Amino acid sequence: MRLYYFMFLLIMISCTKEIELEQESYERKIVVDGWIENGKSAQVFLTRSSPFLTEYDSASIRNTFLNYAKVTLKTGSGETEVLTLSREENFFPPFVYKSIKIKGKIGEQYQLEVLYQGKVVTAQTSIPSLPEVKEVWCSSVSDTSMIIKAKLKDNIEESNYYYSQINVKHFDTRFHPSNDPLTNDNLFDGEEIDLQIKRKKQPDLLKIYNVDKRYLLLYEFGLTDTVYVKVSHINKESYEVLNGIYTNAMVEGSPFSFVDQKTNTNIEGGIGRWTGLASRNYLIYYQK
Amino acid sequence: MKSFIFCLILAIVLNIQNASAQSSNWCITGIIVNSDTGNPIPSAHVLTVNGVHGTVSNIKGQFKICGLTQKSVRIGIGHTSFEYQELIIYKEDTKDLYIRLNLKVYNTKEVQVVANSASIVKNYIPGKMTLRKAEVLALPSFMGSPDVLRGLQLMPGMQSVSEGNSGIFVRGGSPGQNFVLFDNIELMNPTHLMGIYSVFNPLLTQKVDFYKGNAPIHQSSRLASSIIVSTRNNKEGDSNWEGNIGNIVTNLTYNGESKNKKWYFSTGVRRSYLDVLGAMVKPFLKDDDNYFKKNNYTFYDWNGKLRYKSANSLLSLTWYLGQDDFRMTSRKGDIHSFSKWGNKGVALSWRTMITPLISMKNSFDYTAYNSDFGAITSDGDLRFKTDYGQTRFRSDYTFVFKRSLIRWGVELIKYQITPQNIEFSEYENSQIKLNKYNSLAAKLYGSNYVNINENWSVYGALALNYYQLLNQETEEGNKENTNEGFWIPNIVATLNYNPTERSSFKASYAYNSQNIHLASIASIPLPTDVWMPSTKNLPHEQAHQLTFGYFKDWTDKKLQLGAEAFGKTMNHQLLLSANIDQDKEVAFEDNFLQGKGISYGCELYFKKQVGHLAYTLAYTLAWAKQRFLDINNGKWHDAKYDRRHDLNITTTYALNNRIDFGAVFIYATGNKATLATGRYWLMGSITNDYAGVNNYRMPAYHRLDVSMNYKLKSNTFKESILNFSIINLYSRSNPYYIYYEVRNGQENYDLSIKAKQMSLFPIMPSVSWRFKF
Repeated sequence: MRLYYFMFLLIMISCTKEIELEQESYERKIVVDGWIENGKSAQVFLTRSSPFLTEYDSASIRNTFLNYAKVTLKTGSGETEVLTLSREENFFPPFVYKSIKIKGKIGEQYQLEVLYQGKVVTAQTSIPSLPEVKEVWCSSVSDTSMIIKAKLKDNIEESNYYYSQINVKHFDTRFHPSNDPLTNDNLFDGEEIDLQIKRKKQPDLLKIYNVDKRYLLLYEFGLTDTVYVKVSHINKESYEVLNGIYTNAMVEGSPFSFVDQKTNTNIEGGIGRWTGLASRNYLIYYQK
Repeated sequence: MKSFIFCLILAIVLNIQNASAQSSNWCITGIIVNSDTGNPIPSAHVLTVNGVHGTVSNIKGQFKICGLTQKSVRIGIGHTSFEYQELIIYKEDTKDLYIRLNLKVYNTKEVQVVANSASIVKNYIPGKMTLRKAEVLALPSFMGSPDVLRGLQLMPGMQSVSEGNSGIFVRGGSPGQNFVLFDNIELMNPTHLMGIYSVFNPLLTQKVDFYKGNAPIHQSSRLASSIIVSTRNNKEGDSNWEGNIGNIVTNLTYNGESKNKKWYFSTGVRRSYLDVLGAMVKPFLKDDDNYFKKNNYTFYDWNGKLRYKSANSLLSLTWYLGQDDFRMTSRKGDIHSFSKWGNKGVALSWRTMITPLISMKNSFDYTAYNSDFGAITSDGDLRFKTDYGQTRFRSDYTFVFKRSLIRWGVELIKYQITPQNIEFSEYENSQIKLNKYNSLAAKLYGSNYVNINENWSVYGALALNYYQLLNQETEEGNKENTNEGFWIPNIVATLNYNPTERSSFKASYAYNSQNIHLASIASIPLPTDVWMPSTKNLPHEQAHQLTFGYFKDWTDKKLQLGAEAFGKTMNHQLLLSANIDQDKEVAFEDNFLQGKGISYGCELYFKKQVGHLAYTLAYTLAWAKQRFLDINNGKWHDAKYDRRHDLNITTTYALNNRIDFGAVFIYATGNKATLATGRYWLMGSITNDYAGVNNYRMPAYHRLDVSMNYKLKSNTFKESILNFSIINLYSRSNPYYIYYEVRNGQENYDLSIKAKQMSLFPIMPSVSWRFKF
């Protein structure tokens, strides 16, 4: 955060120009974007990474899809299933490998194995215990906007990692991370706290989804919004991977690259994330 | 007959001796003065190093040695209160010598013979450089203000300035490995305005001594360098006031002396006036358009010295106070942020002659550094604070014995450090996170500098450092006493071989350690970087350094040449990990990464004067690597400040008594940076794939600065000089950092990614006025 503000000072007195850089040699990697949630199917998107300084548009992104991989899901209790490729218009790329038989269970381990052109990548995750969420509510902060908060009772006996997602009806096409979606209990271990679930627009770099263009103050929702809120527990490894990815996104384009900058992943042999979610779901709308 | 023969022999011998004396005997005459006060030094011993001839200076400081037969002679000048020094005098230099000796404050080998400037050959520490006020003022100034550190950065071994980087990097060392002593006060962050200016007032600075990791043991406290800045000790000329008005900073100094010259007082104040500019444009601009109304950056510093001297003693009180203050409001007005940081310190020192053979210096000083960064947002308030406090007592003794200069002493330091004090009010209740460390250090040291003979001299020093973390206070106010004290030795040794009077081979070995770490969170130094004391889990930083050098000067040609090679290994280097909230912290120390470093290279120095033109060339070829277990899979990789080539050319030309010109050219290999090599699609966004930390070499840095000093005629002012400077004459866009910009294209499904370079300083002309009255 402090880095962010120092950056302003320097940008104000500086000038920029476009330059030509040579692409370093780069070996393309298998990218896994997958998760499994309690009571729901596993979902896995497979792509390949690209050298940084090459053309990158929807056509080249489409060329990175891996639609001919064998994706196998194994549970800690011995169940195995080969995931099935299906079309999912809410996502880009719109192809997802899904489990049919295996649904997420609290406390279960899940191993993912991807076989593509003789190369194998693997990943391991688990679904931790459900978060203790006493209530999720909204309150108006202006004539047109409201904020949403969740009352959490943190479990003192274990380290807990929270992840929040939102889906605003009529504006978003799916669940996506809220603003500052990750929290750990360092500062409220064993306590009861009110965590604000902050609004964020659905990512739409390719302008596919026609996302919410209303002007609302940072983190606030419209009073007329209907919001699906998902508050989840994730395990430590998943938290570290997601936190690393968000932190890198925050400093991107600034001179303040961190001293230990790296690609955060829990995928062996590839990159990306494989996340187990223990989620509680809420539907929130404002009532006078 | 016998008596006749005796008389004959006696007559022949006397005649021969007389003839010899008439044909080749010669004398040295001169006067010895105190370099600080200009007062004559009586009772100074002047001896030829072979011990054959010698004398003692009289009450006026005058001396005369006769009966010399060689073409040149090496003489030693000794006095218990002053540094022992040696000079080589040539028969043809028959004019009176004017020798200035330094009081035993710093063991800096400073002798100046008028018309023979101090030579790099004569320093007994290889690679030691000295910078003086006149040299600083001759350089092109940035926005109208000359700067001491910029002058220092033109020397070999220290990295030349780079865009927006405030750190001092010496021989592969990080910014926290430099010991900066300003008039006996240690300063923890010697820069203003994010590194654009240093904290040393150039108009009061007398000289800067710069050692590259092998300083004499009593001036050694860090791994990479010792930068010893001294202000004047006596009144300069006949003016009391001196000042400089630049584009963004004004500087005013005063110095005065009592009639009996026992009392001396100097003080200097500098202040930036960006905020004044904001007030001046207020009537012409709306507040929303007034940049200075919304964003305010000011800095100031105030330092001074009060000195009293008696026949055998000198008492001085020095102080420094400085602060940077930056405030900013976002365009929407919803985020107010501020950042301020500053040093403050005071030192009281007393030096005296105990016996004619032993002198003593006692000093007591306190220094503090704090930084405070805060932001007030709609979410709540957020503050990061660091506090550093250090109290030091030191007692130092010197003893001249035959060919030896023996020095010993003790130093006690109490540290009180709060590396990071974080306050959040994001949740309903404010959260405070505080860790405060109290620790104690003691240092016993002894050294001896011996002139073995005319060709060889040696310096050997040993220090025993004791360190103990006394306790650690947590936010609940609990004090934990968990650490036992331990001893760690430091060694400095140098060997000098002078095959001729004007050339020398030097070698040195230094094993240093430091009690505190400066851990950086980001790839460039920031004022909020964390000072962290050594603990059981974060042991002392340690370094071994080996250097070899050859130095030669040709006085008649006004030419100096130095070549030096160095190699250094470092252990327990510290970085602050960014992801501090990744996991539940067991202890604050868990936020740090520890690693090793290695650096090696060579330095060349060439200085020449031709008529009114003087030029200096400094070139460094170096490598700096590091290894951290959690970075780049524990492999050795280039440090951020690894710089292969660093070339500085400085020239000055005096056209006449009123006009002189200066120019500086800098060329430096680009620093290393971390850039992504690949990208991938994850969770609906583009994410970067990194090949490793410091994987990319930035483009080279180079620029040319020029300046002209024009002395105005004035009846009011004793000196009145206009300085015209142009920084970056050909407006080179030097890289500050490089980033990728991702933009949506005109059509759906379109993206464009461009590599962009940000530069801070284009061509920057300035005019300033320097005056004395």
